[in-house]
Amino acid sequence: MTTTPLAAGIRLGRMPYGILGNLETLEFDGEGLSMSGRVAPVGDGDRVATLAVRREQLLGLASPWDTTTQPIIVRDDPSITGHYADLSVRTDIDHMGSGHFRWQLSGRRLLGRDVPGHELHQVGGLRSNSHAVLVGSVSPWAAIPAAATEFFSGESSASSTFDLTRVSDTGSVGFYIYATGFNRRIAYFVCPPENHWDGAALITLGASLHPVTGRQVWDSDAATNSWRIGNGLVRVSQSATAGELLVESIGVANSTWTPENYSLRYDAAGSLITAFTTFTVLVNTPEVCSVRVGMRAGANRHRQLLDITVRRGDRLAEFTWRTDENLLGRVSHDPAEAATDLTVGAATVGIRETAGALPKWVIYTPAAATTDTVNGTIERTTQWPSFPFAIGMTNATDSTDDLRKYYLGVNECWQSLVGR
Amino acid sequence: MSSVTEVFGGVGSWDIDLHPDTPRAVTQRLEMAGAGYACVIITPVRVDPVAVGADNIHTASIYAGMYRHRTGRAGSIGGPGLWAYLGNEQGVGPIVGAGLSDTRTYRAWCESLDLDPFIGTASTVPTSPTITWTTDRVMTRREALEILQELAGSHPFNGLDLHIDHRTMTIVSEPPVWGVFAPAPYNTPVAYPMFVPWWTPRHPGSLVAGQHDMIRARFEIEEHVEDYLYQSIIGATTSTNAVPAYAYPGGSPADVLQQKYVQDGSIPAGSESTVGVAEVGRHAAAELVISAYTDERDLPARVKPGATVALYDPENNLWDNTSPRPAGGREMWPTFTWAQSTRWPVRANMGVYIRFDDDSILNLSDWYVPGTGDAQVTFGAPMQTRVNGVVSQRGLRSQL
Repeated sequence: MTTTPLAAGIRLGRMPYGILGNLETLEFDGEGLSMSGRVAPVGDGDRVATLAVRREQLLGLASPWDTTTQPIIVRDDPSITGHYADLSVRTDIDHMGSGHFRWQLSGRRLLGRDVPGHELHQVGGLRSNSHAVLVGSVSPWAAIPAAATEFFSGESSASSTFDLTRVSDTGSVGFYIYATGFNRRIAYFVCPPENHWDGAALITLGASLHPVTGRQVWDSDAATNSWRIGNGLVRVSQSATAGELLVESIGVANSTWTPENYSLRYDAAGSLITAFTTFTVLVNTPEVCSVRVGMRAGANRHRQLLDITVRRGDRLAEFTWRTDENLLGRVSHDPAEAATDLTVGAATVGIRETAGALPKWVIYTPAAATTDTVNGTIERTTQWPSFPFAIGMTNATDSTDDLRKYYLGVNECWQSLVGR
Repeated sequence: MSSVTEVFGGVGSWDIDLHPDTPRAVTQRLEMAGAGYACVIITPVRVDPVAVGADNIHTASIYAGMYRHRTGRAGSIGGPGLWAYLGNEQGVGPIVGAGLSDTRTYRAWCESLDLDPFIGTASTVPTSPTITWTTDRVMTRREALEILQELAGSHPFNGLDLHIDHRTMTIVSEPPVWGVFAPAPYNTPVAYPMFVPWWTPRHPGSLVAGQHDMIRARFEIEEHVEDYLYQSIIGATTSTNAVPAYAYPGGSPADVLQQKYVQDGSIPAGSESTVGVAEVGRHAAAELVISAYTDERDLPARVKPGATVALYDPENNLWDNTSPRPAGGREMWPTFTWAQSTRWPVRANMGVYIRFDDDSILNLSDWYVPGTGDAQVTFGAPMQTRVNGVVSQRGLRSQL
């Protein structure tokens, strides 16, 4: 009988299985744990670059910014598996030239073994909008892994079933809609570490799309570097045409991605964004990820920023495009395609694809907008320094009205783990 | 450690520690026999006093104060803030004559009191309300101003509180905000500084009109309820408050009612109920002390006591979701309040100058010991409105 070494079976935080190599030492001290190992050897070629990425991922686990706990999974020895807090990481990089390096990680083990409590803090309200949409006609929601149990929504214990379960390509997500409006509330659930990242918001970077941990990236070049922000239901990257957005969505009952391209234009002449410049991380949690992408039009160096936010369980990716003058902005489906206005009352809140079967692409904006339904274009009626919009797909389960209600309210969620 | 404390409605203080190596030629000029009447000027970066000139340094300053004491040859120097120009704690200052008895507008009072000893009277002082005031007492201008503001019902939110703009040495109705580090808002300057938790991603504050310039801070919250009041009793009139809860738990609740007997002969007959309701209302919310600590270097340029600021820290219950503010690609829901006091270190590479009464400038920028650590801001009472319709006023009792 062959035994699988501990090699392939370690998962630290967002770092996938198979790259951390052998777990070599393990030391417990009260609630403290320290473990060390050696990353799986990397062959020639881009050896140092690949190892550098792994090193940065490891160091990012100890990032103090967004998440102070990380799940650690040792697949072949579940007795070690659990959630660990206050991590510190050390890497010995003197062997990187020969294809590997040693790493050491220490932290504090949360009580409750692998199932400590998850508190989901929430605060939210109506998204500022020009559509006369009021707080009563939006749907505050929160999403957690569908594998979670012992769920308490924070508003009542009677209705703790999910309103929807959305099947993302990284696991199922339970989608809960609050009937009592927005408030500051704390939901609670318990979730096995294996499911901690189900449908989580995720930022990936580089040709092999390695997950980014923490807020530092190992390459901030958004033009030549591949980057992607998504949640297993919708994901955003740069399209094959420089300066265009590629937004891919998963339909309701299949796991295939439907790609759609969108171009961005601004100013009176309709200048086209032709390149992305920089890529930085603003927020990196399982509940929500935000990145900031710099952009430019031709040789114009004028400051153009696109903040992209994706929330766990959301079918829309949110964008905030900003510049310093009244210049913004226009979003167009590329290639031109017939679209239908989406309205609420007398206001146009967005457009959707006209032809074909579901799923259909949609664009929403909370700003007063004018549409071109022949070409699939939506633009801010009055040019302005900021243009917020959201892109995704509607399907049989999530109608355009539903998506609007989910988008025009914002329920910010952030999670903290509590020992039992 | 060199630092400055600025207080709303008070004189505050400043302290500059001098380096032991400070030349005798410099410290000799600080001797009171020669320096007598002088002020300190602090600028966010160093400027050349010879090239720039005294008035321009004042214009570029983030703080000015009265030079009033020193210790040692090269020890520390310090004094109060500019309000002491109008009258210090010993009753010394420009005196307002006796026999004030008139009904005038707020601005007319300021003009006739000659409150601005520097350059005329600011036209930004509101004309209303009209105030009737009779006094035959001689007092300093600062004392007169305090009485006047009290009569006017001044509060940082109603524009009736007055400030000294240290850059132009004028009386203004809005605290000054210095313009170099504070990004110019694209359109109208409606963006108040917003204090957010330290981990909040930054965003370029200048990009959109109405967006808030964010100051990342660590919040410290203190709450007290020792004066929670359920009923106030004035003579035969009992006024009852529904919030907070009826009584403290344990035993028979009716036995531990929080009642207060208000004994005040000046309450006119018939007003007992009005006064009583106000009394319980004042004590229905927790006394809240909010402080923020930040390492933002330009804090003293952006936030002066009395300035309107936004606070957003949901984990400390500082939020108000009736007014979303887009920030960093996300929405935030700050609550609005005002800065009550600031205390900030005079950091390395700031400019420190003494301006003498003959307008000559002594440059201390090379010779002070820089302060380190966080700047601290304490805040006054935020007005809170929640979606559920409950409006509550929170903050220090003395500021309500």
